[in-house]
Amino acid sequence: MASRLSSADVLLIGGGVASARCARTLRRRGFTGSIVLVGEEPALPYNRPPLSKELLRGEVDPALIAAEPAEWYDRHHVQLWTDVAVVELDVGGRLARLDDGRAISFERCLIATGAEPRIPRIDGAPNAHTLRTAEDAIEIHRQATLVGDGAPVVIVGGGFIGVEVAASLAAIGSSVTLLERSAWLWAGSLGEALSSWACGHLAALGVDPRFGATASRLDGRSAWIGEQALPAGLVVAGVGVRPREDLAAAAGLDVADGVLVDGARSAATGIFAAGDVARAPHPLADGERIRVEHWHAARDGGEAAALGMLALDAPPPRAPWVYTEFAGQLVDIVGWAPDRDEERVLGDPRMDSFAVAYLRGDRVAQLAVVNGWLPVEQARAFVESRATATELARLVHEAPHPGAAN
Amino acid sequence: MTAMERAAVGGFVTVARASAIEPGTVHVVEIDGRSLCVGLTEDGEWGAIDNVCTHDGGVLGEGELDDNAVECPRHGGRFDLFSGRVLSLPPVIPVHAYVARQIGDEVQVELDA
Repeated sequence: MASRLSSADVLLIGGGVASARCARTLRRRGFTGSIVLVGEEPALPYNRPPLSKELLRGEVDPALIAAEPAEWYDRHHVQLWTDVAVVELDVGGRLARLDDGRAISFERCLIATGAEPRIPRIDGAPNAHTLRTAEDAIEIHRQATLVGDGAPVVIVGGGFIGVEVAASLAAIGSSVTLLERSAWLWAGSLGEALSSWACGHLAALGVDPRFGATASRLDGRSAWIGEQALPAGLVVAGVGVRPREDLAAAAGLDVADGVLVDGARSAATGIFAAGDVARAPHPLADGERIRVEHWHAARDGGEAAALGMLALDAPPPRAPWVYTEFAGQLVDIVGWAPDRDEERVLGDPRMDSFAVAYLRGDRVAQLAVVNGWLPVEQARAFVESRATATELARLVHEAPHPGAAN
Repeated sequence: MTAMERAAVGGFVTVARASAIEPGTVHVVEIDGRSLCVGLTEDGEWGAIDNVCTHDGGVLGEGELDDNAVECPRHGGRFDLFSGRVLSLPPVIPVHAYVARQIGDEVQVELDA
């Protein structure tokens, strides 16, 4: 195959938010060099949060999910190469080879190859849809519409994706059963109080959440839990993702459940990684490396990579920020508490405006804020200040009042 | 500013000094009991919209302006600085837009009656 060689000052590998944000930040900081963004999907880089919500419900013009409008790339001289993948990265030689025979040399490079859904390891797993791309969301919406109003749908996995997909499909008329292996939504990572409250909202939409329930087999018509068959015109699995780190690993970069970076900088000069694929040390994790598979992390990581490419100081990493929306409820989760000693509920869940504090020892490691019980900026600063449990009283005092947003 | 002063400039009220605002930025302006997001594009055009994101109440004037798009600092929703139209989710409801202009060093916004 004839190799066509191009060159770019900055090569962005991956067509998601981290790459788009890196390009945007480079241009906002006055970088005038050439930028090429290579994405495997046919679409422009887009924001993934709406996929499990507005796009799945078929409510919006897909243009509203674009990370930047199409004309932005022209106006800011960012070349977009879509529907093409980087298959080999030569870090020392500063060269990337693409699957269409092209090659591109570069000065600096961002690896933002994202993550891909895990497939449940059960018989008939190919009968389950997974949700990662806009195409996936449009196809699941189409299937849900095809099987019809009131048709049974089974969601495997009660994590962020499972809960949002369950609520969205129920909202457009599906009869949804949600299977979660553990005793609580989000595998218990957000505690019992938030899970119980969320179950109330899911139930109000007609979702039937079943805990301690694992699908053992899918046959195209049913999801089997042991010997019990649940009718399923459609099955969607949301059982987590794995980072798409193979390209980086093959290139000889340090990889361990993600490309290891400091800020967004890898150990190789000029090579950066950000977004779902990157694992970076975080002060709130006591300096341990963490990987955060959410929109804010991709945005912030892309920005940090741009600053690194320009040899500018990046601000210290902010507290991780995750948000989820389902059944008309918004939950912002700030901080980092994979393990915790205690959870405390602030405010009244019955008002749909409250927060949950997750304590590690005496420190508030994470806050989940429901429907703006507290301005999220304040919650984030509170967690970043390494506040203690006794200071929660101040937070309760300062919260506007139950039911009030902001 | 009193109603009489406002009438003198034809419904426009002065909200900021133009020389204090960098192109490509937005700012929070409190005027007449309203909170506005006032911005100047890189192309030198002034715009003003309501300051509160219709998704979750984020402060738009504390966000980023890129071309004509104001980005909410909370969840990244975007609004058109000139029309208030939603350009990017998660908001779905537009914000109110105001006519803005520069007279000398004064940035003026036309508030509704």
